Amino acid sequence: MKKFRFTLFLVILTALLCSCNSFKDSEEYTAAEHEKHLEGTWTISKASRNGVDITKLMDFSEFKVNFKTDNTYQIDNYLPFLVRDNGTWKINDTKHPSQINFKEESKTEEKISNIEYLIVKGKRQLVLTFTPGYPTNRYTYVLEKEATDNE
Amino acid sequence: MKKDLNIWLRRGGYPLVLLLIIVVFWACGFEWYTDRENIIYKQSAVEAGDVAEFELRFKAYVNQDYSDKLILAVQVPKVWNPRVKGNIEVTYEVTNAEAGVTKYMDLIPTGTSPAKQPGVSWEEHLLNRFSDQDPNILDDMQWVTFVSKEKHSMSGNATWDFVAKFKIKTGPQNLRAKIGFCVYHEEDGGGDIGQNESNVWNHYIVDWGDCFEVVEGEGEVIDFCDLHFNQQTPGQATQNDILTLRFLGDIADNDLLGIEDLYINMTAITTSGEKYEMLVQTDDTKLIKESELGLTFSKTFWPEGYFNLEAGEKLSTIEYYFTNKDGSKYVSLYDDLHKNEPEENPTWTEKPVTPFVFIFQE
Repeated sequence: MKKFRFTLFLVILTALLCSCNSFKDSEEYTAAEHEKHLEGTWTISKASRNGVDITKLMDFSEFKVNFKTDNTYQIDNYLPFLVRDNGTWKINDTKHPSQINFKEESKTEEKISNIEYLIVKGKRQLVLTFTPGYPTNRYTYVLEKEATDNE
Repeated sequence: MKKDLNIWLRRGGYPLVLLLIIVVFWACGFEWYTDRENIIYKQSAVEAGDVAEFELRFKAYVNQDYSDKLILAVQVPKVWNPRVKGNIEVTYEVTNAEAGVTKYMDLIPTGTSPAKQPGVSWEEHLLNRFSDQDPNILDDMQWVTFVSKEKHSMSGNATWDFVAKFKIKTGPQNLRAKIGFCVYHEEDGGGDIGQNESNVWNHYIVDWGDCFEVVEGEGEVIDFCDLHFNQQTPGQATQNDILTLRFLGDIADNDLLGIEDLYINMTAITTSGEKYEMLVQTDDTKLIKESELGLTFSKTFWPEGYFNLEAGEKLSTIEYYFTNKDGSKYVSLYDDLHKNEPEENPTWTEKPVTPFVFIFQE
């Protein structure tokens, strides 16, 4: 009986002490990554300003940015964005893109944005954050790739 | 075995288990609290660009020897550029243990996560967790977080009285805002929401002061404290931002109350004095109702495109007021200034139109 009590005491004490700790998954997972292809025409599916969703407050549907295979891009129906004029684009890593660089034709410096490249409900999404106007105003656009015949 | 356990519990095991739970959770105990007026404004107003000073008084109780870094966050208008080096200085003293010894704090770099909120920055965490409590009515406030340079050692079963001092450089704009403050300790940064009940530790302190004013500065007063018929978001913008002008139709009696087909009439003025007028009631000037609840209507637009500016033209201001379909009823700054004096705000067609003004930044 005494042995049982002591064992129970140890079990409860261990469980309670462990409740103050956090655990990390010890297993490592690996998977082969495919190259990400941004080429295509993207439109705005969600827009936020300073963290507040403004998608329904204005018509964002006409804005388009077309990333071409020759690494040039074209913007139609401009709205506040990272760049205004057409130019060239590149991403930092084709398998794990985390940054996109734009260079307008008329300018020498590049504009850089962190990006998230996602697939949500079967649609490819590209999330960009930028500051086109007053320095404290940050905008995030979620862009969705327009479907093409060969997709 | 099960029988033995039941007998053991009946013979006094329950209190032992309860005691163990209390002992273990007690060992994790660290509580923040306040027991007096905790936010002190050294001035209720300063001139634009001057340094404002604030004090935050709070206490910590620990039941065992403990050592950790102090985290202090302050929420101020974004236009004060609080992340610019040197714009905010934060120090603290432990007045009942090391009175007169000033300890300095460092600004936490952008993107750093609280210990208990991995993947979320301090700024995002504070904005998300406390947005429901934030008394400021405009969303142009910003949290900035500081960490003490050294760990602070505290002896167990003692209360520690802290006084934190904030020196904050204000911006050039006239404004009114309620300054927010938050306290954590580093290892419990972003810890679970606490409650001020027995056996539940307060993981943080968050509170806001009264309305603080910046005067003798530029432009119309940006008012984070009180509601007006109009609301401009963001408070600071260039012509290449997306601007929202709102009509808050239910904050006081007004000529447009009960009308849902509303419009905004605007005159944009460039730095060279050129005027672009949208003084018509069409789909381009129609306000949208933001929600089924309440009477908030708004127009959101990209000013440069909306007024079809020529290349190189710069907008200086937009003057605007709200009206009904035939333009016979309207609400302007005149109504806002007299909204608490109904006898001074008669419902008549000759009532003056004094437009609200939005001023663009360079």
